[in-house]
Amino acid sequence: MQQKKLPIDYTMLFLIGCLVIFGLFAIYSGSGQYASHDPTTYIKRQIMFFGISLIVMAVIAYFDFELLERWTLVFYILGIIMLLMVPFSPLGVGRNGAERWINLKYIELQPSEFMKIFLVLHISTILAKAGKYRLSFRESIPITLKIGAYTAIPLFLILKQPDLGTALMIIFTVFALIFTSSISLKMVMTLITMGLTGIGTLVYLYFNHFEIFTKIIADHQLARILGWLDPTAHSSGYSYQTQQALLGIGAGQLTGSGFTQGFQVQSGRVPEAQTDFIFAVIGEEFGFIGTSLLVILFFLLIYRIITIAFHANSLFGVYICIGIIGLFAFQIFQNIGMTLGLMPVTGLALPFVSYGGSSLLTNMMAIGLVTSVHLRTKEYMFSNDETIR
Amino acid sequence: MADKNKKRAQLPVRLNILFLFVFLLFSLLILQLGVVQILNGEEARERVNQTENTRASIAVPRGLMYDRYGKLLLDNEPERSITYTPPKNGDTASKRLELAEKLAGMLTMSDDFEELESMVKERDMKEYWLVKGKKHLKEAEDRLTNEDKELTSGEQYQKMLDYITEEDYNIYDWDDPDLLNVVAIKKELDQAYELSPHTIKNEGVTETEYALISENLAQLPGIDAKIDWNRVSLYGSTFATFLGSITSSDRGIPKEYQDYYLSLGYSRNDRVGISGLEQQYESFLRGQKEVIQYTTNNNGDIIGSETVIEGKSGNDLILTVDIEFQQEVDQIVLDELKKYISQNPSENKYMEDAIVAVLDPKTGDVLALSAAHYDRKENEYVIQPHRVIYDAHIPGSAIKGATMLTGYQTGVVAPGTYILDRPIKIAGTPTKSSWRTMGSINDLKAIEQSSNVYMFEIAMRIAGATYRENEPLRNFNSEGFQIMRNYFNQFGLGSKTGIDLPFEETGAVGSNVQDGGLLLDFAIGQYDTYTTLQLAQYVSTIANDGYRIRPRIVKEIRQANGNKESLGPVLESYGPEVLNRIDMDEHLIKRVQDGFRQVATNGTGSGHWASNPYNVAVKTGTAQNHFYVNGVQQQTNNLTLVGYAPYDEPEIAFAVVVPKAGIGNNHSGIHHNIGNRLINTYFEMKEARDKAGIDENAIDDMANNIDEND
Repeated sequence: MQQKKLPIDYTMLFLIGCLVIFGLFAIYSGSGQYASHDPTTYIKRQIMFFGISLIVMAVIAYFDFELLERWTLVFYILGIIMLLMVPFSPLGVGRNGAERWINLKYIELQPSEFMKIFLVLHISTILAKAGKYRLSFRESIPITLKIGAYTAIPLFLILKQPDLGTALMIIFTVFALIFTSSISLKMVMTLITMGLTGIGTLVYLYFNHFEIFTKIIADHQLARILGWLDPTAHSSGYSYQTQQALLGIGAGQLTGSGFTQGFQVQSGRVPEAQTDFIFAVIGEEFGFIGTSLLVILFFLLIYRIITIAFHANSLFGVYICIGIIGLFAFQIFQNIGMTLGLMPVTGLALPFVSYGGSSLLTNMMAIGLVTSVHLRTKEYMFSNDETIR
Repeated sequence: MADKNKKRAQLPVRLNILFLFVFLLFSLLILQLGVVQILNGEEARERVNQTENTRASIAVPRGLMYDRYGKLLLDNEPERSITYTPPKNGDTASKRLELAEKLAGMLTMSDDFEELESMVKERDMKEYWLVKGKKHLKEAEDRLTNEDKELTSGEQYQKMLDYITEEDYNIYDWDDPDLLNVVAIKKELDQAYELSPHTIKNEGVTETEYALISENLAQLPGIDAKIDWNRVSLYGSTFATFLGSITSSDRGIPKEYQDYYLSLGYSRNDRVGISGLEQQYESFLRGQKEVIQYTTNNNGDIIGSETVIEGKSGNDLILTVDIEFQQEVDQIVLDELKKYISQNPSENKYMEDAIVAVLDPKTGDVLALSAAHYDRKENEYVIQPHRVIYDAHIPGSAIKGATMLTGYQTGVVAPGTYILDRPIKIAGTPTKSSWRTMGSINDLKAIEQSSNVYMFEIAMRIAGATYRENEPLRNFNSEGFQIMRNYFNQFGLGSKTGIDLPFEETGAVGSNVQDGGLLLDFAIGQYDTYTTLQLAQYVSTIANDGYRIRPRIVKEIRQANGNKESLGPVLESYGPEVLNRIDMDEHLIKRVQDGFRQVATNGTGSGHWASNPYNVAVKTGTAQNHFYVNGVQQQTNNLTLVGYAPYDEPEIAFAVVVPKAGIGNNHSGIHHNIGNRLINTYFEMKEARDKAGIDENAIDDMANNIDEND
């Protein structure tokens, strides 16, 4: 039986490189060029962030992820402590009405960014322990409850911040993990039913017991949801800005207005053009060619991770990959969907493209984990029963 | 083994499903991108590139008003203002500073250094320091403690300002008036809210400043130079009521007529005439606003402008009024009212008004309209000329000329008809008689001596009534009211005079009841009420051989020429307009004219008028005006006087009404004094003008002047 160690996945790194470079252009055009003293400030800092992230990624990649399996609970607890520090320690920092950051003197960290990875790791451990064989409904109950409990704590803390975007991302990711795991299909269906019932209850409360509804959903969240459902009727600040962004993307047409030539973006009508709404810059200035290329790049990235998951020898590694796919897929869809009016506005950045250190670092950490899984996959020349296939 | 395989197939299958799901999500994105960018892209592109045309109109000066000799009565005073309208979401502080620096080159907030200094507070200096130096903001931010950073942005800003020291901002020279000016302007810019105009300066904006800023608007985003006109009456309150008033630009067009004005192309904040000539001649006075169309791109930058409609100043009005004569008449009524009330306060305790209308009987020109009023509460005398057309009173015998002519025309009396003037005793009504029993008198004597009984006979005959002493009036036909009023209306009594003002009162009309006594009262002016202007028109009609002319205040409308000393060409000229010719034959009218002349020479007015050198014809009236105060009847008289001069070639007709005079002094004659003084004043002024060579051609001369100068 011949065994061959796989090299680093250069395709994946190439894809990420493309995304980051795409991002640098958009960051410069969207906001960087207006920075008061030095138009390249944002670019320089983003490149620096990327450099640091790349090192962190490499460290994680060469670190044997399987050693992590025993430590995931520790990471999980560490994540919870960081989350608790936001509201309960003097280090917590608030901005735009949300308290999401902790100030560590030189850098500001967003604990929820790390928490989502730690949560994926820990749930992967739980699911890997459950084995690869399909569980009965009865066998699925304790494990589902366990996952539910581990998810609920950070979810609650994140919703409290409030950060609906990250919360939804976590729900989506955990569900993707449960769905692909050995947990019984019946249980999956039960969870879906529960989710739908929850949404149904909210809708019912909205129409019949609004006073209770407002205790669950904050005013500004409701405003965003209503603005998303009917942009013209609720032309609040939010929907005005998203409409302007959408108009800009449309005006990009097939080929775009050209680099730094987007009228909507350059006239300051698009909010947060270097971070949350960076897709609007790409849409207006690089047109349909640019946007579809970007979406395809993202899709190829996810395809690469899925491929790695398919080939992985370790169940733990497979779940890590699935969790990361969940995080990326949701975040990408949510961010682009929001600028296109398909999703309500939340504060999720576009992975690898948006300006920002925390987000870039955690995304690269995720890639590091995937790479680590990939590097430790032994490709057997002949199919073996011991692989997950 | 097969069982195991089935179980193990689970993960890859679900992974594939997950992959499919992600694929579908991403396909949805691409699909939506296709819809947004390809399908609807064209439309979005158009919307983004959209240019917008906005129209701005610039106020033009309203038309001026001149008196008949070309004296300017109503002028315009320009009020220039410089405003700033911030764009949506406002301008940044540094942009505002930049704008203030540009503006400071063209605009001075105050020439007085101390005033300028007082405009700039310490906070303004700090803010200037913060925005002016490139690194100052960073420096100020660095001074914030971690604790401060927890605060809201507004509180943080305040903290930043608090940390700025005198040393900091004193790096600039605060004794430099130019710098103070910049900061004072910036302060105004800072106060503006997005999209709503804020006035930077509106008092004492010089013509140069206005012109400079207007020319450079393109470089001054958000800045606008506006000009508005305020009305200034050069003769104070004289005749001001009739000149009228206009709304403020805050009030704009009156709400109740909004649709009317909007349909005429007014904008909501346009100023319009709401009384007097300002309202009556609104369409001439308003002029044509200049309309400029600005083309702006989606960003709000102006990329072009074009004058769509050339502006045109409002047209000027030339009035028939002689403002100097008007001033004199105001003075006369005021003097006389004061005199009678102060000399005999208990006798005249209800006297409050003295009202006068003076017309040119041939042309209908209004020479003067005046009324003095005594405000008993405030104990002050005021000029309230509106009473000439608003207040109606019973006139008494002054209207006997109309009764006599009605009698002639209906055939119940003829020139030379004798009637026995004796007390009329109708059962159930108080005895009615003349002021003295005159015996058998003819029509001329009846007017000269103001016989009531002669008029009663006319009224009874018109109504077909049979009078027997101490019996009820038999066969009385109440149609008599209608017949008599029809004739009275032809003189303007009880009908609109047609004066060119938005409103005039026509007086109260009593009911046509089956009561002969009331018709007799009507015949001597004791029943219906009339305004002073109606009485003036009535006497003018008699003076003018039966032609009732529409009184007019405006004689001509002339195009504005932008010059107050000269006039533009005539746009419209209003000649005398005959409203109707009364039905009576000329010799009958002549008979009444003779009667009126005899009143002045031999009759009831002779005591006051016989010595007047201007050949006046008059008719007096004393109407009993009884009313109740706290249940006690108070007896007063309305004193009236109508007349014209010279009687053979009338050029001035007048009516004087003094309501509620004490009953004891009707022969002391406030109305006669007023009449005498105004007639004398009129002719004296005329002589003086003739000597000085001023006549109504003055207006044409003013117009010609220009032609020559041009």
